[in-house]
Amino acid sequence: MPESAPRSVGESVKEYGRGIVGGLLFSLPLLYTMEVWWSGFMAGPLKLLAGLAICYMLLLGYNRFAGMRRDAELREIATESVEELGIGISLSALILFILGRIGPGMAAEEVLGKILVESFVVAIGVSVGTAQLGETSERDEESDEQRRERNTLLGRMVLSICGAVLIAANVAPTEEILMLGVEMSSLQLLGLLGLSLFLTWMVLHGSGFRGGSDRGNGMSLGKEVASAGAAYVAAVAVSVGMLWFFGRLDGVAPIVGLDQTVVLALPASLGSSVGRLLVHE
Amino acid sequence: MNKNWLEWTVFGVSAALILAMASWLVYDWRTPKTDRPLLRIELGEPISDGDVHSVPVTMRNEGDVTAESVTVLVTLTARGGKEEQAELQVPFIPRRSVRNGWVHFHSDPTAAVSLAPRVSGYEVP
Repeated sequence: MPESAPRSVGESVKEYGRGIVGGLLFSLPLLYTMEVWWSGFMAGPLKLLAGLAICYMLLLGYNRFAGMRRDAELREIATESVEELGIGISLSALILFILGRIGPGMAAEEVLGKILVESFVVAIGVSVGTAQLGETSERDEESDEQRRERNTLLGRMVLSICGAVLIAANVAPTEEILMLGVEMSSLQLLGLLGLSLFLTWMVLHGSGFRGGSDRGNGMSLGKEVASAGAAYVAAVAVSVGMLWFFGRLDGVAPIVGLDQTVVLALPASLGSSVGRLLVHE
Repeated sequence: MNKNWLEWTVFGVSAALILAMASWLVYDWRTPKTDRPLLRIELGEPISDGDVHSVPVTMRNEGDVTAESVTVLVTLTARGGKEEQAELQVPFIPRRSVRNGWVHFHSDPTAAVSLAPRVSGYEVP
């Protein structure tokens, strides 16, 4: 692609504005949840480092496959992801400070842990907000070929994971996931699993969502089930990752971990299937 | 790369912020840690308001593990040996952090023989 002139400062300000709104839209429930503040000081430095690295990789993936300038070179995507992570960290620090959750007199470990845990989801929200809340005319024009290039298994998986993180993060740290997991019967959990799979299929193929493929377009039912299955697998992976991050898998029997995963995989699979549609846009 | 001065500034500040946080996390990870919370309780100057005597309590966790559901007992021994106990519960004292609270007594702590705080128990996450 030919190098175009830099955006005007006014355009950049608008873009940051959209990012900030997107970041808050997706993560305010988390900023208002006490389990998340607690996990900030419970999570050790290694877990926070892992979270930081995973968040940066997700931002890279999202910007590559669904960002404003998808066809930009890797260097540009990398610097943009740094900006989004920085905005995420600053934004969560500001909101936590205004809410009185961090402040002078608190230990550095507590303050930084709280900011970091919150900033992971804020940063992904910033990225999604920047790319999705703008006018379509602001996006790069792209050919069918470029679109096809993006619609690879990797592209779909990255977007599925980002969507699942955004939606599942709002409930993942709460006690309710554990409570539901241990109080629901095996039959109810099986029902929930079936419902999650059905909803995933419905979003992707059954109800004419923008970017989805509808029945009767030549795709066999087997392929549709496989694609819904892939989105559900991404949701399960995100659920396990989040439960681990928030310490919900520590010291529980494997079956309790599985129960919690099935409970969390419902919101995660909705996020994962809707997130994936963005790739077709 | 195609960035204006504002975008370069945001990038520079963001990169510095991320590097600083990552370095701090690595430093924190490499520093030796205690394997349990180390709680220190300090009592401040009592304040009296009629029949109610309030004593400020500072709870300090000098360990590297968060203490959960901390119960602090403060025992006041009055002249003549009569004891009065006050209890304070705190949901969390994060590692290397401080929490503050108050306990109340009917007897006047300034006239007491002793005023002794202790942690009666806590959970670890």
